[in-house]
Amino acid sequence: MRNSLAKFLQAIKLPGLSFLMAFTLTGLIIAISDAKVIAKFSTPLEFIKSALAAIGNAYLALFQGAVYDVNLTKGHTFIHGFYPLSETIVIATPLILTGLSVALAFKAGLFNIGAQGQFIFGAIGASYVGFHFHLPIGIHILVAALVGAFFAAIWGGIVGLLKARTGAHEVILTIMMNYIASYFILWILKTQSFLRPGRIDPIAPEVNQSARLPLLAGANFRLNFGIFIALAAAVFVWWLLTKTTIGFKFRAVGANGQAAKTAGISVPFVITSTMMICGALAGLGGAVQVLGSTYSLNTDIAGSFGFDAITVALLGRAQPLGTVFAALLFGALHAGGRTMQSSTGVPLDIVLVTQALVVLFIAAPAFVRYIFRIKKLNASASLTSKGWNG
Amino acid sequence: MKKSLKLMAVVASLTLITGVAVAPASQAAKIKLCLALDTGGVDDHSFNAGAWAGAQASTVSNAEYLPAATSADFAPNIKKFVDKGCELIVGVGYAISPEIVKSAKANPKIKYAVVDDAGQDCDANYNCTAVANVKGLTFKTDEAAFMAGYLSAGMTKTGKIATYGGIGYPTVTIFMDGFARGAAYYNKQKGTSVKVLGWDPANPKAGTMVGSFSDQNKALTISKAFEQQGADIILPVGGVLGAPYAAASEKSKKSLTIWVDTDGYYSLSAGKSILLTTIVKEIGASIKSVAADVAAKKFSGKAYVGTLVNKGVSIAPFHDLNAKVPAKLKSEILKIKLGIIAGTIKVDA
Amino acid sequence: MSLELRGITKTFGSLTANDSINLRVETGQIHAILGENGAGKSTLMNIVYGLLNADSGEILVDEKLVDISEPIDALSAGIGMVHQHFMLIPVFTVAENIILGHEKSSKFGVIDIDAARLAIRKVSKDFGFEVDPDAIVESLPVGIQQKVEIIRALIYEAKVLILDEPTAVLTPQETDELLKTMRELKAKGTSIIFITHKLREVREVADQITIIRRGKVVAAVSPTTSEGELASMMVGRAVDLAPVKHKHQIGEPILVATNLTVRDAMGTAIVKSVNFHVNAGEVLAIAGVQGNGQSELARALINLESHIEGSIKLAGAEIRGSSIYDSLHSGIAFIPESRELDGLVGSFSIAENLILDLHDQQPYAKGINLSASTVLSEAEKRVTEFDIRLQSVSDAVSTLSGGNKQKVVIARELSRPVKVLVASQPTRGLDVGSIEFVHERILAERDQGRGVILFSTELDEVMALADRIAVMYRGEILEIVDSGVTRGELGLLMAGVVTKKASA
Repeated sequence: MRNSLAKFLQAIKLPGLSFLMAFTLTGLIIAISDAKVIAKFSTPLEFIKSALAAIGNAYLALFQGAVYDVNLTKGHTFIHGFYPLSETIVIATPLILTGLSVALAFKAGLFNIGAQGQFIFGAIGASYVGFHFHLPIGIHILVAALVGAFFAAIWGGIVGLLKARTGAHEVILTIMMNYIASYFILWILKTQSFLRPGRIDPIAPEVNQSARLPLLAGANFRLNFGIFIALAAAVFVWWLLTKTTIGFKFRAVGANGQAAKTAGISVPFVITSTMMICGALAGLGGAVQVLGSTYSLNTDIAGSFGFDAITVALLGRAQPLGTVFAALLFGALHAGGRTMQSSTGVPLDIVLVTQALVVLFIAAPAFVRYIFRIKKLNASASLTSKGWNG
Repeated sequence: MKKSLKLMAVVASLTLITGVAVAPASQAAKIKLCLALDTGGVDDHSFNAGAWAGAQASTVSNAEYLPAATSADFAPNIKKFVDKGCELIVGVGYAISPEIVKSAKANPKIKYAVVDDAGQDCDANYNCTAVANVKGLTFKTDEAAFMAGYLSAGMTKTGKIATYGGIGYPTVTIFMDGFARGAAYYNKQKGTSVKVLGWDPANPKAGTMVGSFSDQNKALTISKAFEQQGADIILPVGGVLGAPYAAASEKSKKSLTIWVDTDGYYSLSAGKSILLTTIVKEIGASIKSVAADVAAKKFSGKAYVGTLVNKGVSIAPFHDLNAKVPAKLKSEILKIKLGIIAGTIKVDA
Repeated sequence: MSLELRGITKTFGSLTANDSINLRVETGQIHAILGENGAGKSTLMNIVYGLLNADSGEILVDEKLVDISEPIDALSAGIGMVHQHFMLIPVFTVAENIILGHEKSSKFGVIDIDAARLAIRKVSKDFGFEVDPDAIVESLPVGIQQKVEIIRALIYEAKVLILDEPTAVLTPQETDELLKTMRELKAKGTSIIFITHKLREVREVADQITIIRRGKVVAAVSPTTSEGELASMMVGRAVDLAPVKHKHQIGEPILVATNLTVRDAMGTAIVKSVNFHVNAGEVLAIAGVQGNGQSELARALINLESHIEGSIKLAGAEIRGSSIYDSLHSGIAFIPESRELDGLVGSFSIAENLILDLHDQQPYAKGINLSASTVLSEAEKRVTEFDIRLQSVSDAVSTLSGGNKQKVVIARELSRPVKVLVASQPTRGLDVGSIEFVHERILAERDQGRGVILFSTELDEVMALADRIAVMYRGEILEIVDSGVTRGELGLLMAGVVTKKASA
C-alpha cells in the first residue's frame, strides 16, 4: 500500500511541479499586467500586497469557476454550488477522449497530431445520424456515437495504412489530414443536407431529442452521460494496453519496434490498428460533444480539443488515468478562466499561457529537475541522491 | 512552533485574498449589463468592439463581457451571467442568438438583447415566434452598403471592385448584397459596367467567404487575390479580418478599403490613408439605448431595426480621401440616401 | 615516457567502477589491461584521457603529477587515445580528419592543409605506414582507418598511446599488422596501453599484463602466463575455454539456401547469390570480417530483410517470402546480432520479453486476453531452465547484465519447436562465463539434432564450435571448408584470398 502510494507520488511529481511552476509564473504575469498593481510600484510593501491580492483574487475566481462557488447556492440548494465543477467535467469530457487518442498512439510509438481531424469526422457522423434519423431513445444515441467513431476510425486508419504501406511520417500525414478535415467540414456544412432550415450560414440542424445524451443533474446543469462514455473509454484503453494481446503488440512496437518486428510482430498491423482505434476515440470525442453539449455541428465544433489533447496526453504521461486527470485539470482551467475574466477582469487568454507553460515544463523535465534540485540540495543532501538524480 | 506560524500565515493570506474578493463594488441604481461576445474577440475593431464600447458608454449600467473562443462557449458564458445576476444580457452576433433565446425562455425575469438577429424562438422547421424578454437589434446595413457600393463604382479606376465575408451569416451577406446592388445601380444610371468580385446577390453560394472571423492570414490571401484580379476597392465584411490587408494595402497602394461596423479611421492602427469609408452600424448606440430602457423599466421585446432614418446605419466621412472624391459623386450619394429614405430607391432588389 | 596511476577511484551511484587502481606503464612498454566487459577498463582509460574525472587518485607522467580534467589536458601531457569506435568524419580526407580540432589557418583564413600532408607523410615514413593524406576516409579499409587514428595521435606527439579494443574490428591479417605496428612504436620509445579481452593477442605482444575484475586490479602478470590462467583470473573462477564437442552422426540437410541475394533499399546487392545448406545435428559457421553481408544474410533467413531473392527451404518447404512470424513459427530460432536493438524490448519486463513471439498463442492468450499469471509462471520456468540471474521476472529486462539479457533471448527463441537455430554474433560483448554458457547451449542444440547456423567474426569461436565453416567476403561465400582448417588459411579467406580448393 505504502509502496503504491510512493509510486503514485513519483508518477505525479514531475507534472505536479510543472503545474506549480506554471501557476507561479502565471501569477507573476497576472500581477504585472494589472495596472492597479503597477501603479503602486513606488511603495514596495503596498506593491507586494496588491500584487498578492491580484493573484489571489484571480486564482480564487479560477477555483470558483472550476470547482465550487458558494455564491451560486443563493436561492438554490448547496448542490448548485457545484455547477462550476459540472462545467469542468463537461469541458473535460471530449478532452479525455481526444487525450486518450493521443496517449494510446504514444504507447504504440506514434505521434497522433490528427485528433483534431478525427474529432471533426466523429462530430460529422454523429450529427448527421442525430438530426437526420428518427430512432428510439438509446438506440439512436448508440448508432450516432458508433457512426461518428466509425467515420473517425476510417479517417485515422487512412493515416495508419499510409504509414504502414509507404513509411510516410504520421506527423506530416495527420497534420495534412487535419487541414482536409477542417475544410471538409466547411464544405459539408454548406451542402443542402447539412444546412439548417431557414439559415444560410454553416450550422447543421440540432440533433433530435432521442439522440441527445441524457443530462445527469437536471436541466440547470449541462453535465451529461458523456463523462461516463469518456471514463469507460479510459478503462477500455487501460484494459487494451495491459490485459490484451493486441495491447501487448502496441506496447512492444512502441517501446522497441525493431525488436518487436524481429520477434514476429507485424508492425504494419500495429500501426494501422492503432491509428484506427485512436481515430475512433477522438471521433467519439466529437460525437459526445455534438450529442451531449452543443447538439449541432458548426465550423468550429472541434475548437482546440484535438490540439489540447496532445498537451493532455503529455501531462498524463500517456497513461489512461493520468490523461483523465490532465483533461479534468484543463477543463477546470478553461471553466475557471471564464469566472476569472468576468469577476476579476484577468483575460481568459491567461489560461492559455498557463497551459503553454505547463507544456513547456513538461517538455523540458531536465529544466524542472534542475530548478528543484538546487532547492533540495540546500535542504538535504540525502534526498537528492534518492529522488532527484533521475 | 514553526508549523503554527506557517498555518497562521496561510490563514492570514487566505483572509486577505477572500476579503478582497468579496469586497462589493456598490453603486446603487445602476443595472448590471453583461455582454456575451462572439468569437472575434473584444479587440476586433468592429462589432464586438463596438458593442463593448457602447456598453461602457452607458451611464446607467455597470458593464462586463466574456469572450468566446468557439461557439461552444456561448451557452456557458450566458449561464455564467445568469448566475452572476446580470439584469440585461446582450448576445453579440447572429450565431449566439439561439443560445440567448434558450436562456431567455428559462429565465423570464432577466432581460435579453441580441445584436444582429431578431432573437426569435425557432423550431426545427424554422417556424419562429417572438420571445417577450428578448429584444432583437438588427440593422438594415444594406442601405448604407448600397451607398458604399455606388461610391466605389464611382471611384474605381479599373472597373473592378470586390467584397468577401467572414462566414455567410445573413448579417454578413446583407453588407455584400447592398454593396453589389449599389454598384449595379451605378452601372444602370451611368451605363458603365463596373464588376463586383466575390459576391453576386443572385448566387450567394458562390460568394467568397473566409470561413471564420479570426483567420486573418486567409483574409489577406483573399484580398491579395482580388487585387491580382484587378480590384482596386475591397470591402472585407468580418470584424478584424480586414486589418492585415488594410495595413498591407496602405504600403502597396494597390487598392482602397472599406471598413464595416465602427468607423475604421478611429479604430484601425494602419490603413487610414487608404480607407475610403466605413459602413457604420451603430451597435453601441443600440445597446446603450436598451440599457437605458431596462434602467428606466421601459424594456420591451419589440425589435429594434437600425436604418438610415434613425441613424442606426450610415456611411462614415471619407477622412483622408475626402479631397479625392469628386463633388459630383458626393452629391449623387446624398441623393441616393434621400431616395432610400423616401423609398424611391429599393436597396433589396 | 612513463605513466603511473595511483589509487584511482570512480563511483557511479552505488556502483564502484574503479576501486583504488594502481598501475605503472614504463617507457617503451606495451601494457595490456585485461578484463571482462564491465570490469572497469574503459572507465579507467576514459579517466586517463580526461573524458571522465576520478573521484580520487593521482596521475603521474614521468614521475610528475598532472591534472587531467579534459582530453586537451591529456593530449598536452602526451597521452593519445584510439577509440574502439573511430572518431573520424567519413566524408573528409585523411589530412582533413587529422587537422580536425587543430585547424591552423594561413592568411585570409585559408586552412593550411599542406602542413598536415607533410606531417602525415613524415610519420608514415618513420613507422612504415602507407597512408595517402588525400584519400577519403570512408573509402579506406578499417585497418587503414585505424592507422589514421594512430597517425593522428603520433602527430600530436603522443608518447603514451591508449588502444581501446583495437582488434575487434580487424581481420586476422589486419590484427597481425597492428601487432607489428605496436612493436615498431614500442621500439621507437612510445608506451602503449592495450585494452582487450582476447587472450592470444595479449600473450603475443604485451610486456606486462594487468588484470582487472569488478573495478579492482586482481593480478599483474607476465605474458608467459597461460591462456587458461588468464581467463580464470579475469572471471574469478576456473573456466573451460574450449567446449567439448562430441562426435556424432550428422543428419540430412535441414535448411538449404539457393542463389540467395539480399538487396538494400537502393537495390544494391549486399548478399550476392549465395548457396549453402546446414544439416541436422551440425554447426555451420559463417565467418568473415564484420560488414561483409553476414548480418543481412542472417536477417534474410527469417525474412527480416525487405528485398530477398532466391530460395530458402526449411525441411523441404519454401519459406522465402513468408512473414517473419511464419518464418519463426515454422521452426527457426533467431538470435539477433544486437540484443538491445533487435532482441529485447528494454522497458518491458523479463517475463514479457520471454513471450514477445508467443504472446498471442496458447497458453498465454485466451482470445485477446493475455493471461498475466501464465506469463509469470512460464517465465519462472524459463528462468530456472536457463539459469537467468535476476531479482524478479517483473523487472525491466534492461536492468539485466549482458549475459543474462542474452539468456533471455536464447530462452525465448528455444521455447518454440525448433528445427534450425540461427545465431548472429551470439557472444558479442559477453563475459567469459556467459560465452561459456552460450557455447554449451549451441552445442546442445546440435547434439539434439538441430541445424545451427552460427554467424561469428570471432575466429576462436568459429574454430571451436563449427563442423563446417563458410567464409563470407564482400557478400559472397568464398569457400565452405571443414573444421580442420588452420587459423592462417581461414584468415586469408576472410581477407578475400582464395588459395586452394578446400573440401566442401
